Amino acid sequence: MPIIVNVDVMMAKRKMSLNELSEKVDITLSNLSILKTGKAKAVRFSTLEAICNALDCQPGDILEFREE
Amino acid sequence: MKSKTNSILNVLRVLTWVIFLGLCIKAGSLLFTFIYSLFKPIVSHDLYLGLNLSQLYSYHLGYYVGLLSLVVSIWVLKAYLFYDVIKIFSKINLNNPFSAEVAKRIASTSYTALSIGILSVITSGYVKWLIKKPVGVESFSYGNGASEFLLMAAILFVISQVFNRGIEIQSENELTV
Repeated sequence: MPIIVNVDVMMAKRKMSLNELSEKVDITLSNLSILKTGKAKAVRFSTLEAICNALDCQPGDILEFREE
Repeated sequence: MKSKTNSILNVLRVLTWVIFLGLCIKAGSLLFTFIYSLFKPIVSHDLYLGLNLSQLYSYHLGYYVGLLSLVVSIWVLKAYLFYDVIKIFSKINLNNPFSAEVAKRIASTSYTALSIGILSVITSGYVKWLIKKPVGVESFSYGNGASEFLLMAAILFVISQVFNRGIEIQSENELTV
């Protein structure tokens, strides 16, 4: 898929672990893992908002379009 | 509403078992008497519930074997069709109804119905051809339900495709974070 999820990059920049983010965003580790590995088919605005809030970033920092 | 659906499904499950057992008995009896009649021609006087094909047997054994093979195949396929329906009932999970197994079973049911329809058309044509000969099959009518089975096959195939789309939507839904 040409949409790349850079949650792991932002997590590394903020020095935040997956468990910590999972607690702050209030989504399960498995769902966060689906998002991180790029297996997710869709992201809810509410989830995106919570992740941006927790990582103090913009949606563009997390999502990237890369032509195949 | 949910309890009503469950009770309807339970009634249908029991009915499907009853029909399946009935069809198994009919297919089994017909198969048994057919094979037995090949060794004891007298059996062809009453194959199943008064079905008398003794005249055809004495006229030409090949025609007799051909006709009964078609009829037995149809009844076996009908029993298999209901076996598939029973499998669908056992595999379906109402909380998560769209599963690959159920879609596969529905598709298999549609192929079985298609086979029954095609075999019924062949049998009907064969009986019409036999009627022209003095073999005593005038009273034997078969293949009237061919169009119904073909229609059923088409409907079931469409349902299986809808199910496949349902599986795609369900998996997308599961992968929505």
